[in-house]
Amino acid sequence: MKAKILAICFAIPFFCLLIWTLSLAWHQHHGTEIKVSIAGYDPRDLLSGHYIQYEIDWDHTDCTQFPQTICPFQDFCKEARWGRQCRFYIPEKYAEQLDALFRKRNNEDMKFEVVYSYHPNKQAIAKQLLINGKDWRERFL
Amino acid sequence: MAANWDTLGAITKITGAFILLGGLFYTTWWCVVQQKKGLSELFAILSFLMIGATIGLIGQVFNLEGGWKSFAMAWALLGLPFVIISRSLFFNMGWICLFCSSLKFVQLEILLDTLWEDLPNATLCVIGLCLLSYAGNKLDQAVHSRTMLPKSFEKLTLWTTYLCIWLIGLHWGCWRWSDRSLLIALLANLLVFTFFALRMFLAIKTQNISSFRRNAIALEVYIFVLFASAFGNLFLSGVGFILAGGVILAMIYVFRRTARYIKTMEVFK
Repeated sequence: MKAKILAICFAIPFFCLLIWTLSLAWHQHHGTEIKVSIAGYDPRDLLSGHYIQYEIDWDHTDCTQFPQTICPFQDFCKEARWGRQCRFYIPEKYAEQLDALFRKRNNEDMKFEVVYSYHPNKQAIAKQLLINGKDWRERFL
Repeated sequence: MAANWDTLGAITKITGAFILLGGLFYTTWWCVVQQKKGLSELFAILSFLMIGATIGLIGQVFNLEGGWKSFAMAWALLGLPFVIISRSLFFNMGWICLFCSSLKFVQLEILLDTLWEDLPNATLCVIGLCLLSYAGNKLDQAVHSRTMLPKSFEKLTLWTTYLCIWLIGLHWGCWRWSDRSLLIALLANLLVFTFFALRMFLAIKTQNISSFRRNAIALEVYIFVLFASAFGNLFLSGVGFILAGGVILAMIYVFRRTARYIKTMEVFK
């Protein structure tokens, strides 16, 4: 009896994590793909550790992608602190190059965008980082 | 971590993490059922750490931007079964710290500000902590055979109380260092001495000689600090530095004598 109760107690966190992961994966694959323009996050660096910190540049984002052509600010980076910065994880070895590229984006006329999987009133999930419309990896690999 | 193993692909990484997680959970369960105490303790801690690592990995794979509070809350709640079965006091204390760090109203800064700014509120803080420790003790008596969480809570609140008492003593009680009025310093010292007296009284009541000795020595250290503070910055000068060495030697002598004396006390026979 005790062994069964214990097994149930241990199974709960396992299945909670599994359901959470599956729901995130479902949202990622079944949401509407939208593209948002990004800008560096001030005052901290764009790169912090091995993830990119950015904020969405709503002034340069096409709001016609969303229902009723209104940009839903509140559905993006809901839990972000220090303002509204979001995260995109990248391998650490490309951090410096990507940071340098991002800093001179205005001089070289480059556009940085993030592709999100979006469900209305749900937290949007970042899928892909684009540089001039192409996956960022194409530039480095 | 997730991003640096980019070649593996998200599904492989997540599947690998879940296999490891499941394996650790199963091993923990098996060790508990087979009553292998040392191993079950080890695997419970590993399973708990793996839950945190898995949450972090999921966060990285899906580029989630959640802060520490949501991460700590999820980790603490999902890891709770492993903490309950563990008999390790420090592991349980770690869990309490993790859980408290996820709560908005528990903030160390607020406690320190209170201790620093207002003596009556600092006194209330100490009383509150003593009551929490007492509640932890009572709860522990009821469920000691099942979980160590109340005991860990009791110890943690008690240690925090000692820390607060020391901070109050140093900040408010040592009037030459803090430029407080003599009355405030007297009240602060009354609080410190009352606390140590109560602790020693409880130690006599429960026949806990080591607790009595620890409190007596802590009180002696405090008296020495109080004595040193009366001389202002003397101990920072050249002569004062040599004098400080003498004072430390005297302290050690007094501690040894105290410890010897406590052993011969009638109340502990």
